[in-house]
Amino acid sequence: MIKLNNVRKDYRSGNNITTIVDVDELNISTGEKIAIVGASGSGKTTLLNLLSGLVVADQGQIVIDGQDIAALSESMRDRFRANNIGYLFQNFHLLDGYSALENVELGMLFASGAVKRQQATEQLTRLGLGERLHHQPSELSIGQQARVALARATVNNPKIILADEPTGALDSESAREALDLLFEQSASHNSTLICVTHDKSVAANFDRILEMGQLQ
Amino acid sequence: MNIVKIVVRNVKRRRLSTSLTAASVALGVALFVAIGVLRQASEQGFQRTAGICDTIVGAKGDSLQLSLNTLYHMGFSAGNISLDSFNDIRNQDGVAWAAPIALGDSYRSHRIVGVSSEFFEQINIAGSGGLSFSEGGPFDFSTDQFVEEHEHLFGEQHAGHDHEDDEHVSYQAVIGANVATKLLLKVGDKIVPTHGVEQSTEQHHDAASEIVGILESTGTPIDRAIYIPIIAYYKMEGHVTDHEAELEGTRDARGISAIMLSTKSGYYRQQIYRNINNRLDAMAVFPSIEMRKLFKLIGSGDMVLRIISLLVVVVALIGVLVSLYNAMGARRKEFAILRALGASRRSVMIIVSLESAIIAFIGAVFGVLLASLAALVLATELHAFSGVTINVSLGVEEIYLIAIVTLAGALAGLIPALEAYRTEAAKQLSSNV
Repeated sequence: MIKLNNVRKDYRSGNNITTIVDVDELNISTGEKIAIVGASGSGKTTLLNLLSGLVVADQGQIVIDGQDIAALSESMRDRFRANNIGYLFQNFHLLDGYSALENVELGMLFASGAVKRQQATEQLTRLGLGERLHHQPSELSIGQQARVALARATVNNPKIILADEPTGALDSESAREALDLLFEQSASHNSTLICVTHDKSVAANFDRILEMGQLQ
Repeated sequence: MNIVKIVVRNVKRRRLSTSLTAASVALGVALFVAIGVLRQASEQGFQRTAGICDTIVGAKGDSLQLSLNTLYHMGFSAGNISLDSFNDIRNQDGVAWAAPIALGDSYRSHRIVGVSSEFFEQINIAGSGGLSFSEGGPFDFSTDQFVEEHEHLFGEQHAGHDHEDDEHVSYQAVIGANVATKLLLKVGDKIVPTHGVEQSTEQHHDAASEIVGILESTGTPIDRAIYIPIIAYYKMEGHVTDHEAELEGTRDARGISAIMLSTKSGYYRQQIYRNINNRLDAMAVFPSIEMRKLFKLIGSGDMVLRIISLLVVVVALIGVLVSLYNAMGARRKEFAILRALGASRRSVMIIVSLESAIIAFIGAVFGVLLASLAALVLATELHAFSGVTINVSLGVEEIYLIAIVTLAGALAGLIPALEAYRTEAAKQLSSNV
């Protein structure tokens, strides 16, 4: 269960203060699939960063499973993120110089418990990349890179999957396939899925659609 | 996958920059280690040779020149001492043995040294004992025989004595191990001495000497020398007359170049030293003290070199810093991704610091290896030049040095590491690059 209460994030540029995120109240149930839509610059990505603890709110509470993450120290937020959150990016952000398998292993590196190569291999194999384990990201197609990124985000069976425009770089067929896999992965471990998208057809597949401007 | 793997992967990924910065660290470390190791090993090697005898006696002059010429066969003899002085000195109370030395000729760049049999019997080399022969044996020509024959040759009643009439002189030679190996000489071969110690074509054909013994290797200049009965020196055609003409009376051409002397105990050592130095015609030096003085002099020079080499290491470490710092711009996204995956700022900082430490470590290890190689090559050259064998060995100091350079590398990496620490992950991830 995720609860946001009176959360506000401002950005300062000189004397100018711009409020990027302003959420009075938001409750998200465990396992729910939420699409966040809104205009560019409306604070969609910042909201994901607040939920992941990469960014701290200027005010308010973000409570995840009873834990107010804004009250945690930065290192505890890092640990919380490593253990509970899977992050999926629009451009996948796979690390060059690391194979597909190693990129997935990186998803386990900072979490509690050992990095299990077997687990990473199984995850990639489940996503149809059993033959591409040792390929570099540059040797993979865009669709395959998306699957590696998904494998990395979900290899720890996170409680929450945060996806920032996960289909933005894909053609419609690949986007459909990636979305199916994303739903499949979140459903298999009852993970809460929060996905930022500007594509209404993508958003229509989610349990709930939140418009950024209407969260106040 | 673990942090160390990430670090190693990053270091490998920037092969060129890693190799260049590690090479510059290696160069500085190699210089530092090689200078230190060579100085220490050389001092030990030279001191080992200096221990051949307690005291060297020669004509008044420069004490270092006397030691270097007599024991290491370097440079020239400063002058001669008379046979009367030699007899006075060797007959003092407390003298265990005294071996006369005559220097001045050579054979194919190897010094020829006139000695008596006592030289082979009494010389003691630290760690390996007395001299032993790999082939043949010593010539039989005692100091007493030398004194007797010298008087026979140059005594007033025998002035103008012609060597061809003398049947006692034995033209025999004993050669050092290196001479035998380098010149492919064996017992029974003959050598013809060349006049002087520098390149000369004037040969003493009248004094062709037959090799009767080859010494075992000693790791000292003895290995590079050729020993003949000392009286043979005075028998060689032109020796006495030439010297007299050249030096116009400043040197007694009938005298001897030096005396190697050992005393019975420490008490006598000081007493004999004082007695000899009170004379007007001779001086005594302790070769071990001369070598200490020499290396103290060299020491101030190599301290400067060591400071310079340390500066090279510092500059190289700054190079590591600059190289990592310059790479920061391109790597911020990488750090941001790691942060999004749960890495703490501290983890990211450790990764960068470790990269710097690894480059410094690689450089330091290669530096020490390079220094060992250079020291071995230089030790071989030194042996060829002086006959002094030095044992180049690495010890715990080099391990400390590797640790210190690695730590310094980690510290040098702190500045780029702090940049990595300050990376705002959210900002980097939101840019669609």
